This record gives sequence, structure tokens and C-alpha cells, in this order.
Amino acid sequence: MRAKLLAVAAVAALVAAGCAGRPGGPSDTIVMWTTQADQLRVDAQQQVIDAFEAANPGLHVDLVPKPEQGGTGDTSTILTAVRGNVQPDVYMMGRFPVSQYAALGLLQPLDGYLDDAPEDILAAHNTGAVNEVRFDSQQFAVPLVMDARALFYNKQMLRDVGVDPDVLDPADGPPTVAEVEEIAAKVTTTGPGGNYERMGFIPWEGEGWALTWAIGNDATFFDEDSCRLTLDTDPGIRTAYDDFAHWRDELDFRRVDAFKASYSPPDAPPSQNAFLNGRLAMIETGTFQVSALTQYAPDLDYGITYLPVQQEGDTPYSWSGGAGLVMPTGGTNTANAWKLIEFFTSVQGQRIFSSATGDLPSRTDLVPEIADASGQSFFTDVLSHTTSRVPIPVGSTLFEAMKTAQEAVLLGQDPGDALDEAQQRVDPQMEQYCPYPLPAEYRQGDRTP
Amino acid sequence: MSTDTSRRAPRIEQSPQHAERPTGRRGTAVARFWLILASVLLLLPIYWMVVTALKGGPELSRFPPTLIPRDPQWHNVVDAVRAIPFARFFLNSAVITTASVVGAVLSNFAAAYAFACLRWRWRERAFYLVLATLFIPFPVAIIPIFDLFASLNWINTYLPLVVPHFFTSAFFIFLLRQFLLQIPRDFIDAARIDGANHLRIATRIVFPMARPALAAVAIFQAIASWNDFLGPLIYLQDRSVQTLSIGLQVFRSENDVQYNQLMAASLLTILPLVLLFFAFQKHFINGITLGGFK
Amino acid sequence: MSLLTRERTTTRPEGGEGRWAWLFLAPWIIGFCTFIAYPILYSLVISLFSYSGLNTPDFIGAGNYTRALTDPLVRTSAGNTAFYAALAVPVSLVIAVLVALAMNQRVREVKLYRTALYLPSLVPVFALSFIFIVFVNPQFGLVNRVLSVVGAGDTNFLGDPTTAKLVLVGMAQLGAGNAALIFLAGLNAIPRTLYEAAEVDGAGVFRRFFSITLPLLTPSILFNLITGVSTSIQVFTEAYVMTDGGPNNGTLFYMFYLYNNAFRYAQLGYASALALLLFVVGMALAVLIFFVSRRFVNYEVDSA
Repeated sequence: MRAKLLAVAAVAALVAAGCAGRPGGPSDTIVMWTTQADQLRVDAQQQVIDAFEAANPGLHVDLVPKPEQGGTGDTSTILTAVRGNVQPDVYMMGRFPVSQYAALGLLQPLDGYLDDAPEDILAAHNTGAVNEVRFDSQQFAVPLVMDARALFYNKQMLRDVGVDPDVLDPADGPPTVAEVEEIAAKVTTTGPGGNYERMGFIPWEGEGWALTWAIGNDATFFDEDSCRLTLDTDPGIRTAYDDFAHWRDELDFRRVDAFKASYSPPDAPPSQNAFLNGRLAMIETGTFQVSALTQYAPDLDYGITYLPVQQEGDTPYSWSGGAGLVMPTGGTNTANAWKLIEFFTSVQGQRIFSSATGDLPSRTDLVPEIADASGQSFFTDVLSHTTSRVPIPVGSTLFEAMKTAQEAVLLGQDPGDALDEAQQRVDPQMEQYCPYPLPAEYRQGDRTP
Repeated sequence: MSTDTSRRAPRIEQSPQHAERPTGRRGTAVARFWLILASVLLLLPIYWMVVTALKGGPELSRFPPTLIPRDPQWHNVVDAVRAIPFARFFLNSAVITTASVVGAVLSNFAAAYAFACLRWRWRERAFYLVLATLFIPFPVAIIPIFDLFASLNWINTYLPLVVPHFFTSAFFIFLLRQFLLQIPRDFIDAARIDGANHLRIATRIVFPMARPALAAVAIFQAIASWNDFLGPLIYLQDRSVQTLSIGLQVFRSENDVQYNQLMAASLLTILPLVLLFFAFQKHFINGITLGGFK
Repeated sequence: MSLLTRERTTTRPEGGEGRWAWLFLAPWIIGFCTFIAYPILYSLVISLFSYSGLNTPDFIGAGNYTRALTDPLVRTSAGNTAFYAALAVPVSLVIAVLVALAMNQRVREVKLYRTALYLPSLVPVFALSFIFIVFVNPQFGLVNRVLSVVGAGDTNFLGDPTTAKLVLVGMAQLGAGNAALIFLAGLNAIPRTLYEAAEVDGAGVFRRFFSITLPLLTPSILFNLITGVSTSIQVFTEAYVMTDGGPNNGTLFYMFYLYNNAFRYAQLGYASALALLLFVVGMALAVLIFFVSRRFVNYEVDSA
């Protein structure tokens, strides 16, 4: 009996030991959580941190990778942290959900620090990236990196079917959808069982979301006057979904899906990818693909060009996302937190991070340097044509609703019905924030019309 | 007051005669055949885990995947343990599990004793209430309980995961009650007449008799705590207190999945449970068996 | 004396025991108040507000409930959960009985088999999900390889809302170990003498199973049915890890939608309303099962 009591006491002691909370208030240890949690980027962030600690002796940064399990806009990590009062001082997250988080009261505005800073920090960064993270006329994040979307193509696969890859050279401007479809048809081959063995182009693969195509169709998504998202009325959006219905029928969605799941299975290591393995000739994807290509398919002979446009002569387009740094609500180590954010997004910090990862920096002056060094010179040009996703406080709901509608259409539903349902999803959410003014220049970014 | 243990409790034991005995050698062979078939089917995922854990990076990405690793990378196991704070996670899981088991055994025994060995007016009706709570979907409680623990500043501690088990659970009350109902009422009455009060009876006499059932509770709770995902997901934000079950998520990030290490770590995670089960099977099964569910 | 028999409850005087009951039940009472009564009340109250968890709550009365009744995703998620439960519960009962029968065989190394059969239920869902994704791969996954033998083309099971649910049902069967143990216990409680008598009378294996085993297993079946339904209507983790609710919300289960509202969209009021609705349905099912069980469950084992 005594032994049992002792055992219980020991366990109780251990449990109590696990009960120590974190002291609040200013501290020399800065806790930073990051959603950029893969090994490459964690290492890169650590390099920046090492430089920060060298420049600020006495300060130490605790970097904690926190992979986002639920995809974009899953607030659960930060929500539970803030409510449980265990939030980090600095959080690295995707910029798109920032206005949503801000609307929920999860983030602290940074305007005070930005105004007090010696230089005009925001002016040095890409305008679109800056505007993407504003809410209620306040700035909630400082951007770090930009990505952009483009069409990647496998030159060898094209040559194999007698197509000269120079046809897609970006110097001639963006290819048309019709051109891409024509090339694709030559590459696509079917095996004995009727299954696709090789494909030329899957319009919805990679970054080919309906959202992407809609942006290409000059969709506006949100009508400020009526404070309403325009999924069911915007012609640019409707065209994109009609195109999806068309492709679904023409390519036989089920067979394409089987192909895709075979060669680019969900939750697979990045090396299990149809494009990297020479099964898919053309794919809409982004700058982040470059590091994967270097790592897993260094011998792939590929080219990059603008996203396909509807008609010959249309201006190129793309959209950008990327990460930024925020300060969750309720944190008390704010002065030091700001120091870290400032350093991370400074020229030095961005240079370190971008050189290590190949992700393009948000500071416009730095872009050419990094782009050239990592074989992404083309993207310097692309960035001048990009916009960001519409910065509304229900961004992730919008994205999810559009994604669901896309899946529905691909599985056979009528585009009009699917969009009506999507509209029904987002309306009640958006209503809570009306009236809602969009940041003045959100659409433009640095995009020249 | 004497607790006269010379008046020995009837040992609640059962003869092993109730199992199906396959008749003859042919019967045994047939039984074995089906057993092996069933085991193979159910073990396929485990086999795949082992195979994947041993593959090196390049072999991982081959299409179609190889069924037997060409070049087993035994060091993957070591890498997996190094890639995450494995020892820390293991310790956390162990402490939480042990404490939860202690809590579950004690509190549920007490409640089951009340429902099985004591007589009081609303006993049956109260038990219906207990049963009803089996049906209360956990979601109802997530947010309020989270707020409760947050206001107590218990986030990032073991407490939210351990303390609730000290306050019973309907499933275990049910299980233990079934077992304790086996004890003849006369026996308890006799001890009362001898002068023992219920506290003594419960702790000195009935508790030891209930060992098989308590073992069952202990093992069920151990498995549940060890593999608990949602609880640690919500309550444990800090690396230093996280458990193995959510620690595995580190292997999946936005741009990558470390398949082999994930599988290696998963295998290490279930190893203690497997050993536990293998060793304590008999006690465990006796514990639930004697409930009889009558 | 057992719960489910229709004996009269005792009416002997028990004043003293009542006080003991309070003592022994103290943990349960505290637990009930803190972890059951309080959350239900709290949820009830919050469900009348619009609350993100961080801002000040905004009273909207029955607004969340009317929204739930018109929200298409509530219908979808409830439908998905119902489909899943309606399939998973009977299938898992059958499989658990089979596994239990297997575990009950008297071969020498039965300990080994029992561990083998129980093992999969110990694997964390997180890891299991990745394994299953490989198993259902259209090209080289086990399932499709078997199907291609009979000439079917490759299918992406996770790409269709209905088949995705079927995959999850299949995955759930690996956890049959727990229910099987309960059945094993029930099997052990059946006296050998009944089987011997039946054999003497000439009854074959199947006859013995359906006339002796099954009827006497009904208490265990009831228990597993109750726990099975209870866990099925709360299905969440598999969908969270494997499919994120897709495709086209095909695996968006009710609890998943609830979790999303609480933790992704920070709509705690709405999530609480959803939770309470689930609670009501759960209770209704429990009562239903109980009433039905009175007719079908056999309690006494009469050794002839």
C-alpha cells in the first residue's frame, strides 16, 4: 500500500511539474511560431534568427514550427493560443487570412511601430502585399515573401511529340488557352485499360484553381457598394466555371482524377508529383515549385511562361500570395517582438531568407537580385503583372466556397447551381462586416494595366 | 472492528472451458487457416508501416512503390527519434497516461461501488442517467471546457488531460458495475455485521477482488490516453508538453511529408501499447468477461 | 440483480447507505456538474449569441438555430454522418463478431493471433490515414490492383464523395479490436454445455451459431451498438487528417463542420447551437435503442 501511495505521489509531482506556465511581460526570449514548417524553410528562418541574435546580443528567439493542419485560414492554432493566453510573440503565417484573423480580434495592429520606424517600411514592399494585410484601415502584418503563378512546361516531353518548346517562349507573350490545349492533346496518351498514362495539361492541377482562371478573366469578386461577394453574378467567375464544366466533359474528369491521384497522390512527399516525374507536360504552378525542381528533379529540362490567356494579345496576369509576420493579440513582449519583425523583413533579413529558400522577397528592390540568383529571372517580370486575392475578412471562407464549387462542377454539377450554393455559403459570413471598404489600391499591386 | 479476511471472498474466476475448441486436427488446421488469413489482412497496414519506415528517400518516391525495401535504412528509426523531441514527447505521454489511469481506476471504482454494492433509493434511476451521458457527444463540451481550463490558466499543462479522468466516465462505471454486481450482497452484509464500514470494505476487500476489471479499465484508459489526438491538439501548444500522438504531425508540413520517419515514429509510438496488451491479455479479458453483460 | 432485468428495485430501509453513496459518488457528481451539466448550460447560453471567442458576444436569440436549419452545409454534414453511421455500425458489428470468434479459437498460439488482430486498432489515426491513401491509390494501390483483375479501370476512391465515405468506413474496421474484445467476453460467458448438447442433437456449426451464440450475445451486441452509434455520430479525426472534408464536402461530417465553425471560423455561438442539436439527436437515438432493446435482448442464461 505504501508503495502505491509513493507511486501516486511521484506521478502527482511529475504532473505538477508539467504545470508551469509561461511568465508574461517583456522578456529576452522571443517566441516565434511559424507555419513555414518544412525543413528547408525552418533552416532558413533559423539563419535569419542567428543573424538577429548576433546583431542584438542578449536577445534569444525560440522558433517553433507549427504546420497548419487545416490549410489556409485554420485559426485553431492561434485561436486556442490566444484564448488560453499562451500565444507566441511573433507568428509567421500566410498573408491571405490576415484580414480575417484581424477581424476576429486575433492580431495586434502594427501601425504604431511602423509610424515610429526611421524609414517608411511599407513603401519598400510590394504594394499588393502590403494592402492584402490591412483591415479597418490598420496594418496587421509586414510581408516577407511573394510567390507568383506561371505555366511551367517540360521541354523534353514537348519535343518528344514533335512540338518545338520555343512556341511557349514568354518573349512572345502569354500563350492562349487554345494553344495550350492543342499542344496538350498531342502529348496525352492512353494506356490499354483506358487509363491516362501521360497528359499534356490538366487545367485545374497545381495552382489552376477556378480562382486563378477567374482572375485571368478580370473578375472582381466583391462589390463594395452592395457589400456583397459576387460569385453568382460576376461574369469572369462564371466563365471560369463554365470552362471547368467544358474541360470536365472533354477530358473525362474521372479518368483525369485517377491519373492525378496515381501520380500526384494527396499528402505525398513533393517528389511524388506528375510534373516532376515527367508524366504531365504542362502545369500551372508557382515560384515555390522551383526549389522542388532543384531538389527532386534537377535534370528536368523545363521552361516557364505566363499563365494562358483567353485571347491572343491579352495582357499577362498572375496572382501572389506569400507569408508575412504578425503579432497575436494579448502578447506582452511587444517591443522585442517588433524588433524581430523589423529585422526579419529588413533588406538583410529578406536577403538571407530568400537566398536560402528561393522564395522571392516582398521588397521590390531585392527581387531582381534574388530572382537572377535562383534561376527565376522571369518572375521579376511576372511580379509586375500580379494582383493579390481580394482582402476581405472572410477570405478563407471565400476560397473554400470556390474550391467546393469547383469540385462540385468537376463531379458533374451545373456551374450556375454550384456558384449559387457557394454564394449562399459566403453571404451570411460577409454580412457581419458590412459596410466594408476595400484598401484603396488592392487590385493593382505593382501591376501595370 | 475487524476485517476478517479468513472468511475468504469467493474468488471470481472462470474456467477456460468456454472457448470453442476446434474438433480434431482438421478442425485445428481450419481454425488456424482462418486465423492466419484474418491476421494477415488486418496486419497489412502494419506491414506497410514497417516497410515504409525502412525506405530511403529515393526509394520512397518510386512508382509503383516497392513491396520490400531494396535498401533498408535502419537509421531512419534513429533519425525519426532525433527529428522530433521524441524523448520529451514520450515522457509527456507517459506521465499523462499514467496519471489518467490512476484517476480512472480510482474514481470509477468508487462510483461503481456505489451503484453495485450500496443500496439507496434512486440507484437505478441515477444509473440510467449515467448511461444517458454515454450518448452525450463530446462536441457539446469542447468549447465550454476549453474556456474553463483557459480561465484557470491550465492551457499548456498536463492538467486538462488528466484531471477529468479523476471524475469518472460513464463507460468505465458501466464496466465496473457489471463486474461488481457479481459479488453476492450477503458477503458484504456479513462484513458489515462484523463491524466494517463501507470505506474499509471497498478498499480492503472489494478493490482487490476487482483486479481483473480494474486491469481492463487501466488498459482501456491507457490506450485512450496514449493515442488521444484532439485533447492534446487543443490544450498542448508548447513543444515541451506535447505528446507523441500529436508530435507525429511535425512530420507533415506545408510542403513536405517525411513518410519514412513518420512511419518509424508511429511504430515506436504504438510499441509500448502492443507490449502492454500482449502481456496483460488474459487479465484484461477476464476483467471484461466476468461482467457477463447480464 | 442487474440493470436490465425487470426486477423490482429493493425497498429495504437504507438510510445509512445513502450517506455512503454520497461519498463514493462524489467524484461522479462533481464530474457530472463540471463536465456535463455546465457545458450543456454554457453551450445553451452561448448558442443564443454571436461570439467569436474574443469579441463581446452579441445577442441574437434563436438566430443560430434558424441559420442551422437553413444552412445547406448542415444538411450535407448531417447527411454524411448519417450515411457513415448507417453503414459503419452494422459492418463493424459483423466484423467485430467475426474477429471475436477468431480470437476465441483454442489453438496454442492464440495469444499471438489476438495481439495481431488487436494491433491495428492501436495505430494512431494520423499515421493510418497515410497508409490508406497508399492503399487506395488508383494505379498501384492494393484495392485497385485487385479490381483490375476483374477488369475495372482505375478509380480514385478519394475523389468521389460517396466512395470517399466508403474508404473511411473501411478504415474504421481496423479498429474492430475493441468491440471484438467485448464480444469475446460475451462469448466466454456462454456455457460450453449448451454447445455440447446441441452437438449431440446434431446441430451444425451455423445452426449452433444462430441458435445459441447469437441470441446469447445480444447483451454484448447492445453494448457495442450503443457505443458504436455514439462514436459514429462523432466521426471526425479521419476526415480531418485524410480528406479535409472533401471532395465537394463529401466527407464533411457533422462534427467536423462543428469543429470548423468553432475553431476555423471562430463562430462559437453557431458551433454551440450545432453541438446542442447533435446532443438532442444523440439522446433521441439512445432512447430509441433502449426501447428496441427491451424486446430483443436476452439476459438470463439458462443452463439446461
